[in-house]
Amino acid sequence: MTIRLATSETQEAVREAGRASQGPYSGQSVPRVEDSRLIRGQGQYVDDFTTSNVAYAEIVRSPLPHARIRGVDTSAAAALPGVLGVFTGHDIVIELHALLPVIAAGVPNRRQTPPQYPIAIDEAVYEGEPVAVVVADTRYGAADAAELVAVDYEPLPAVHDLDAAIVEGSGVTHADAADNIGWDVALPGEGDVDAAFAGAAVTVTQRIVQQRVCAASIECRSVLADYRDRLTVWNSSQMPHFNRMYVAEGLGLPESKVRFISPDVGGAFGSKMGPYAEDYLIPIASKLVGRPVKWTETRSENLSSTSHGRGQVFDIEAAAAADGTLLAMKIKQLVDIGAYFGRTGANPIVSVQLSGGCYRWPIIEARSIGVLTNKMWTGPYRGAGRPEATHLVERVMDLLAHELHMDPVEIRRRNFITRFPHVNNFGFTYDSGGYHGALDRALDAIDYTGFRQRQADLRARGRFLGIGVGCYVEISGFGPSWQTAADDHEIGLTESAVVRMHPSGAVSVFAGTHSHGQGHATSFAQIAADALGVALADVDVVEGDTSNTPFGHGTYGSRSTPVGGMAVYTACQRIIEKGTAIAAHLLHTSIDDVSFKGGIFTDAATGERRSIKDVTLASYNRGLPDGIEQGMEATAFFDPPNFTWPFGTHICEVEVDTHTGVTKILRYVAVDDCGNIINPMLVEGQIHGGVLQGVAQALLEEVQYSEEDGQRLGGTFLDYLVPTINEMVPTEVYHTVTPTPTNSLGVKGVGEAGTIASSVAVINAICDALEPLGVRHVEMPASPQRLWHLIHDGMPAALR
Amino acid sequence: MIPPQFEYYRAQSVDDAVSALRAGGEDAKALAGGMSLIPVLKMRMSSPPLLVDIGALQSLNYVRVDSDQVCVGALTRHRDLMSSAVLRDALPLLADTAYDVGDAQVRARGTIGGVLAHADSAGDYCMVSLLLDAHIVTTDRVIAAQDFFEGFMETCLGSDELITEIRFPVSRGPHTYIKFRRRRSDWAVIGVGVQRSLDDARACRIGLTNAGFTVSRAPEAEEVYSAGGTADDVAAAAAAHASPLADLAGDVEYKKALIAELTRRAITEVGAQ
Ligand SMILES: Cc1cc2nc3c(=O)[nH]c(=O)nc-3n(C[C@H](O)[C@H](O)[C@H](O)COP(=O)(O)OP(=O)(O)OC[C@H]3O[C@@H](n4cnc5c(N)ncnc54)[C@H](O)[C@@H]3O)c2cc1C
Repeated sequence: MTIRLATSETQEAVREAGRASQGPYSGQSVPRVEDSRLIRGQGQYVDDFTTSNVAYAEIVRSPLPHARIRGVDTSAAAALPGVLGVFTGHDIVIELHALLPVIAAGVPNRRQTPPQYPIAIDEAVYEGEPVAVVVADTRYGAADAAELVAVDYEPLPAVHDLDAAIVEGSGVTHADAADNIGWDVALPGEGDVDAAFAGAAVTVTQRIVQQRVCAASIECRSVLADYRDRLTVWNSSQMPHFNRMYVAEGLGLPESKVRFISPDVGGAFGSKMGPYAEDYLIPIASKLVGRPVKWTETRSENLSSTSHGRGQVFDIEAAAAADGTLLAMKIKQLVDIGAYFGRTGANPIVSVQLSGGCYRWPIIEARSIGVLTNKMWTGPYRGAGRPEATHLVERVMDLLAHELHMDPVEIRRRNFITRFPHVNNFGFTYDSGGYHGALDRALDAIDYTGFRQRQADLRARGRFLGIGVGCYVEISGFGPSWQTAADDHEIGLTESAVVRMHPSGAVSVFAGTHSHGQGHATSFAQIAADALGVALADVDVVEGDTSNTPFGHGTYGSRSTPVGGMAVYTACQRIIEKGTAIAAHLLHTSIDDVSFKGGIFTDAATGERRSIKDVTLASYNRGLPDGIEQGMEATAFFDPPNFTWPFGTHICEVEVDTHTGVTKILRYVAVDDCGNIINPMLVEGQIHGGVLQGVAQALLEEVQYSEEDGQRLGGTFLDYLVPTINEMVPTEVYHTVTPTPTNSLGVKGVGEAGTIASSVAVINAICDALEPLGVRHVEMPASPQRLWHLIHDGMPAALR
Repeated sequence: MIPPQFEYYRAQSVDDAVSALRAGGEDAKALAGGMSLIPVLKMRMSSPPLLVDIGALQSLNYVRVDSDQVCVGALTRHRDLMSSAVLRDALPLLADTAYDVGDAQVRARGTIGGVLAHADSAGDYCMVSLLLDAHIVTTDRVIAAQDFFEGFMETCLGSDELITEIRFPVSRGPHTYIKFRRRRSDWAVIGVGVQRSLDDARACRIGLTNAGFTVSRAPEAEEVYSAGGTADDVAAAAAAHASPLADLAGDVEYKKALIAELTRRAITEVGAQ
């Protein structure tokens, strides 16, 4: 296997399309400035932080998916030497001023919202729910004491099957609830769906399951809390400002008295969006024992008690005309919410809102039902809604093509959206696109025609090769405040930056986003260095500490560059505006005569120049003209007019070993269009990782539950199969470049793109490979065992 | 993931280790590479009061050929096995097997004695030792491999008895070990090892990894082979007589299909060597 580094293709594409901003750095594969530190083991993660007199917490968790808690006997644990406190739900609620929040965007009309405390009180509703917190002098002491906490559980039936859970009279997730329906929302289509189906040449019906997966970031979650006259919390998170806001409320503290620090974070993928129960429990424990308290999740806890991704089931009906023209689609979505809404429990609706994919659909009619179950809650997971939508529609395209005896590429071509902006069936406006171009590039790269020939030849020799196409358009750059806030009581999504030029001319960028693999220390520095015309080495990017960065929403939803990067860029523009005034003063000319380029202010009349360094120094000096304050810094909040809409085509070539059920990926081509590219190497890294993550969902990963009692099966890395470097997919990365009109950098976001079309490209390829054996659809993960059964069940023994 | 408290003693010699174990009582445990024992402790599935660390006893790290026997010290690491020139010449099946155990970290620390004592049905060397009728030398006695594995992760070792050496017959004949796993560094879902005699093309041993409570041989399949059966016949016999256990990686039917397919491939491969 070869791992390809940044291809010249990437560089060319960028050069062709022009740069995101004028300057020497944008569009260049500048090496990541954070790598030297991270590779040498000098990264600082929460667990690396300490302060004097730290105590350690261990959390006693429910081993059952559903149980009544008859009593918790803490006496033996409390008696152990070195134990500082053992706290149950009853001790914790006394300290609590607000419940864990539910962020409502997407589903304003929920049927019920189970109140979520950070700890179970009388009823435990998912396996891994905190039941008691033990604090001791040492981590070992805390673990020993936790083992001695005796919890008297009365097991209750667990709700785990979605179909069963929505039947009237079924068991309930929360003992005092009437049913398990979290929401039941109709998204009616415009037009007569039934008439469209009646007039169709072909229709298909299919259930498509998105299994639950774990984010399994390499760094588990961790919290260090120091509660004194003010509260300082180090936590491994993607969104320190948000967590501060909610935890301050939860503990009844002014936001200003709480400081959240999210230092280096070793992976998140949506799972560290919090706040989590522990973000409340550990500060409360610190308050109760009067010492700083640290808690670091174990891997077992990470797999049980950090939010799961996906967990959605779709029942689809789709109709097309004889020439492949799409006519209508009906979708019923069941969302496995888990026991609580999590923080953004409603975002699965995105799966439906983007279910039309890159295509013109006259009508899509949908219904979304959120189902409460006795499981860990599901939350955002790389792609959050777009992989689900893409998987759905790209399976449907293949199924329709199959019915029509049409090449799967052809049906896509016939239905692509070609005019932009395009308003989709659910009112979202796609900003810019070129879907044919991306598809053509991918077909060309993988030699689609040549493959079909090879496939036929090898099939004759009993080998089963397949090719799968996944075209996608995704929503990123969250997001315009007007479209992301449910109402005036919720904060819509914007992003912020403070850019400060120091007297020496060096630049600090303080951003409200958070980098946990994305490389903002590099890409934001490139944006600022180009905008201000300074050396990259003179720019330092600071994120993750609420005490020195402006309020920001953090990093998720591929938003940091299109929204946060734009905040940086806008702040830089403001600095230049001010610098122009100072330069005019220094040059004894009028502002209108001063232009700025590449770090130099020039007087158009005389040609006289002042560098931005000189101007910055002057800005801190005496003798500024009236009306100009000292200093060179600016704050910007960027609120984009729209989301951004990256797109692309992924194509995967597989061979299935019909004797063992093993799928081998032979080639993988990714064509992604994320608008202008700031740093091709960072983009390529995101694609490689994203593709692997999507492929792993297709082939390896699944959180499993017992069909009998809903108990989670497995729960270690022995059975939860995260891919390792050995399973790396040899991805060939290409780009088309279609800048977005949504922001002046023309950038769209790429953090999730790789994940979005990859699982379906693999599954489509497997279905294509096994088509001669009568296999029409394959669920994920397409494990060897699952494929083997699909191939062999019902086959006469003699033919096996 | 935090182990319970235990005493730790670093043994200076094999004798020292045995007396420390004896003094520590029934539940004291030897610690070799720690690749299986440490996870067991961290999950608090066992809480031995004393660990006697034998990992640094260099005297038990060797591969020697002694006329028709290959003698391997119990503390020889996977990595040393895969790179041993002596082993590659005299018992290439074992060298190949070592290469496919776990990942690089596991191979750097884990030991052959640890694999045998841990007696996992997916322990690759457990299968190889059974396949080749190896002898397991302990501080007390010499045990034939077929008597050593007693049940699910159970051996006949006493609590103060240490494995010191494993003796395999020199085997230079055609051989293969086909290990089926989901990821490169996983334990075997099913493994099939085949060692053919160098001078008798119809004498062939077949061993199965993770196809039951313990590692096993496939005597019926071996017989079909020596009677001149085809690879398909041998494969069918191996699958028919195996009793694999259902788990998350596969149900019984699928695992039997794997046993058949891997056996077919192994026999074909060995036939072609
Ligand atoms: C990720 C991972 C993947 C793995 N994959 C595989 C695989 O594919 N195939 C495979 O075979 N193994 C695999 N292993 C297990 C690995 O080979 C271990 O090294 C082995 O099982 C135990 O050897 P150890 O030296 O680490 O023993 P330890 O963990 O130190 O000890 C294991 C047990 O053996 C006892 N013991 C150790 N040495 C002796 C001795 N000389 N005499 C008596 N008792 C002794 C100990 O008391 C303990 O009970 C894997 C392990 C990991 C962590």
